[in-house]
Amino acid sequence: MTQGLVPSRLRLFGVFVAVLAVLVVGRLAYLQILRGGYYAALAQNQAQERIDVDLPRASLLDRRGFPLAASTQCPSLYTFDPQKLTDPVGLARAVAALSGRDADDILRDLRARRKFTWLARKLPFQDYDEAKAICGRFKGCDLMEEAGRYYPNSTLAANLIGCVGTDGGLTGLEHHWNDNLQGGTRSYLVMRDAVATRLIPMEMVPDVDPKPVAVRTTIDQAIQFEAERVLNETVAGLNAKDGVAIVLDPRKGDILAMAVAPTFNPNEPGKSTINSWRNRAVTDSYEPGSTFKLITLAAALDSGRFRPTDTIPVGNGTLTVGPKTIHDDEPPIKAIYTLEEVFAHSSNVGAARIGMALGEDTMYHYMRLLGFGQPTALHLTGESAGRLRPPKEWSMLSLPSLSFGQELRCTPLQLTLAYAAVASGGYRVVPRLLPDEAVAPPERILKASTCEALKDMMGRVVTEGTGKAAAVPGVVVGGKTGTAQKIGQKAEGGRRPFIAYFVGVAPLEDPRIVCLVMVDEPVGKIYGGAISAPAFSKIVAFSLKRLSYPDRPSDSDMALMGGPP
Amino acid sequence: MSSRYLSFDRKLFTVTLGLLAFGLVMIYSSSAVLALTRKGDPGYFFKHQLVWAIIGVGALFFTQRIPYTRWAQRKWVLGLMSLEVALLLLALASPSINGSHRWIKLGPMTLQPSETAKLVVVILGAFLLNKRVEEKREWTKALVPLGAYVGFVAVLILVQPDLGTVVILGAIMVSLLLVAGLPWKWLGGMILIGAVAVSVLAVSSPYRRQRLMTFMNPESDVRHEGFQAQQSLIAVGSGGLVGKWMGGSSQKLLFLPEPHTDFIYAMIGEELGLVGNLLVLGCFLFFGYLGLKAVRGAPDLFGALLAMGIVSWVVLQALVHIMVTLTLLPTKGLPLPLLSYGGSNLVVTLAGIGILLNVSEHE
Repeated sequence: MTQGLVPSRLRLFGVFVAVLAVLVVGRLAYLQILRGGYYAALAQNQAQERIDVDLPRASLLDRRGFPLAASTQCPSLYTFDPQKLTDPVGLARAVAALSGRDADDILRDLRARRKFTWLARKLPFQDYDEAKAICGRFKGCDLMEEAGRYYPNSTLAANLIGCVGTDGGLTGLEHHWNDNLQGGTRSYLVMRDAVATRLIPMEMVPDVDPKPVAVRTTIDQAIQFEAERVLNETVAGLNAKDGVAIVLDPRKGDILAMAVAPTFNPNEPGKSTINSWRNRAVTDSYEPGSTFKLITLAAALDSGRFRPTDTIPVGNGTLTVGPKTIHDDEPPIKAIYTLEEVFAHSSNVGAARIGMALGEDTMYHYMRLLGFGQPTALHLTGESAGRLRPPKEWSMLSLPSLSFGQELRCTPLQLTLAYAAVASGGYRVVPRLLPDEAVAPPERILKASTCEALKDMMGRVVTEGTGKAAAVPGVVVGGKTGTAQKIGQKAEGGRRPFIAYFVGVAPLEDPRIVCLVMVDEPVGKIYGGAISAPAFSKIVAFSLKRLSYPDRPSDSDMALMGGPP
Repeated sequence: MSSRYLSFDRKLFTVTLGLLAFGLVMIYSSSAVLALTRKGDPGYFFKHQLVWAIIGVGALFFTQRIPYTRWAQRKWVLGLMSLEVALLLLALASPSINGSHRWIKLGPMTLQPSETAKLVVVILGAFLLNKRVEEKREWTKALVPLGAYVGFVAVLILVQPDLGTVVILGAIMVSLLLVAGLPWKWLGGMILIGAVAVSVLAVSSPYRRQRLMTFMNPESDVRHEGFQAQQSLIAVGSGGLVGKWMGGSSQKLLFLPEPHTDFIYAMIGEELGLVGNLLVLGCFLFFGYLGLKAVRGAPDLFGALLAMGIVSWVVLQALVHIMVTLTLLPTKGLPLPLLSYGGSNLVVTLAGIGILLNVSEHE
């Protein structure tokens, strides 16, 4: 050992270093082993954040390619780090003024978060310039284009089409077809650091099954518009509770129009009650009333038990079954009606007698055969199957009541389809909303002769019966009125518990349209022949004219629409 | 001649080169994003450091071949002391870079005279303390000139400002006095005065006061002053046992300021985990162990003090750097010897280790 060097002091230095080293090792073990997970999460959290941006949904088009629901590029405002905003109060106020969000809510978000924060998502695209201006005024606020939904015709077909919420379709076809319509999301990685923050698009998984850009529906925008116009006019004029109008092509089952009142604006669904979002044509069931006599007569003729000229005694228009007496709405003009006359004058007594003559099983068979008591092939979300009890649950009153449309409920679409089966000459009509969907092979459910006879009877309803107001100039039409009493229900606001129907076919010799008009709980007038038949006439007149145009859009139309559907 | 060349401590040399090589890799891995952002070339810092490493290894071989007794010559000591002061004054006169006067620009390179100060203090300390023993002088005869010079240099460095280097200078001086046998009452007094001085300085400037406050309560202000400390902890902690492997660090995405200099130990922790951190710590401890062996084996007191000064400098600076990254000490901008980016630091450290190797030859 060198002279002058103190060995114990050298050791002391070594010990000092060793103590520090132990301290370091302990600290490392604590940080990296015990707290490793905590810090890993913290690191992940601040370096990366995933945000999802919606890609455009497929548009919904009418049968000629006009957009019913379109995707637009909507401005969404965001900030990478609310803590770095220079004027959060001003920004919150500006965004609130543009978006309608509460300024205090926005400010609370901004104060609480230090991560990527949306300020307002999917503003209407008309607000693009203003949103851009906000970004210019407030440092730290940025704009991103997101796919939004826009309904160019606002309320048109709203109850059928539905609307979209932040997580996809909320109601209607938007909800029902959501998986097919949804454009998916593009994920971005927010990479942040002390200096700058960037959005880095994450690698997108290639779509195995590319989503369609647009989905064409069977709806005809013009017919839909006219059906809605006439329906709303009728419903509003009578201050009725609600109403439905359906226009259907019986040849392929195409639904051309499905109008519902009350309706809503899917661009602003929050401003309407959820009640007005319902597509009552399929979600609600109603007593069909006298319109159901078509089914009774179909059973009578098709079973071979009656011929159209066979007679039924109707007496003075009353029939007592057990404790109950059945009345005709108007006293019969003679004591004996032919089957045609029972239908044309809508005799309840006549229908009840026919039903009772056929028996429970035959009646039930035909009701099921024509689709009652089961959901339609559309299987739309919330679709009702209606209510048809099996014969073993029937009382002695059930058979006569069912024969003129009481003791059962059906959706307006079910009723339309039963008429469509007759219109098509006896084939089952499978409803469809996608015109490119394959049509099922024809399935005969009624004899052609039955349908010919029934169409004949429907024609006489318009020419000489209860449905004269349904006549369309220049076209032979046929149909059936209905005035169903809502048994055991009370209507409110001066309304009467009745449903006024007209369901009909046009042109009768070569049916291209089956149309149903239903008005629920009108004020004042209640008769289908007075309320719904005129509406039917207007809708059918317009529809037939419309259908004389080619189904496919012209090339110039296509150019206007911005590309092939 | 050739036998002498081969007789230095090969292990010490190997540990040094190992740390140097590892440092180069870590500099590339930790600074690529920063280099790309600042300079447009991910390899910018790596390439510069590589050049400095080559120069530094040259310096190591140079000083290793100079008989260490030469450093005991008065003309050398006085020359180095004067040069150091001149350089420090020049640095203060130079335009500030990042708000401090630490650097002298020499064409494409910058010189940091506070780094060379460490070596000068080691040589001066060894010279004066050796003289005291050789010429049977009083302690004051060594302490006064040493204290005066170190104090003067410390003031010049403090105004740059660079408290971290001053602390290291003090630590080197205390280490030398410790092994030279300065009586405890003197030593205790000096440590006390040093501690008080550092405390006063620590609260004297607002930014140091803030750093101290955040050190006491690191999560109090995660956004601003506590940012570095918190980010360093996140880097180390998220590394876990084996780390995210080379280049896998997310903290270096500019979260951790100066990942390749003041926080390289945290980057090692993030990318190589506990394993990497322990390996580096172990290397420095092994370096210290071998260095102290050289101190004991030195043929004379001057050699022993030279070696002690260099060992305490490298080992204590490494520990302070490590403890800062683990928030065991308040934030100080101190590089990790041999690993951190920085040319002056690297070349001077390697030159110092060259002297240490020369001392180790004489076992």
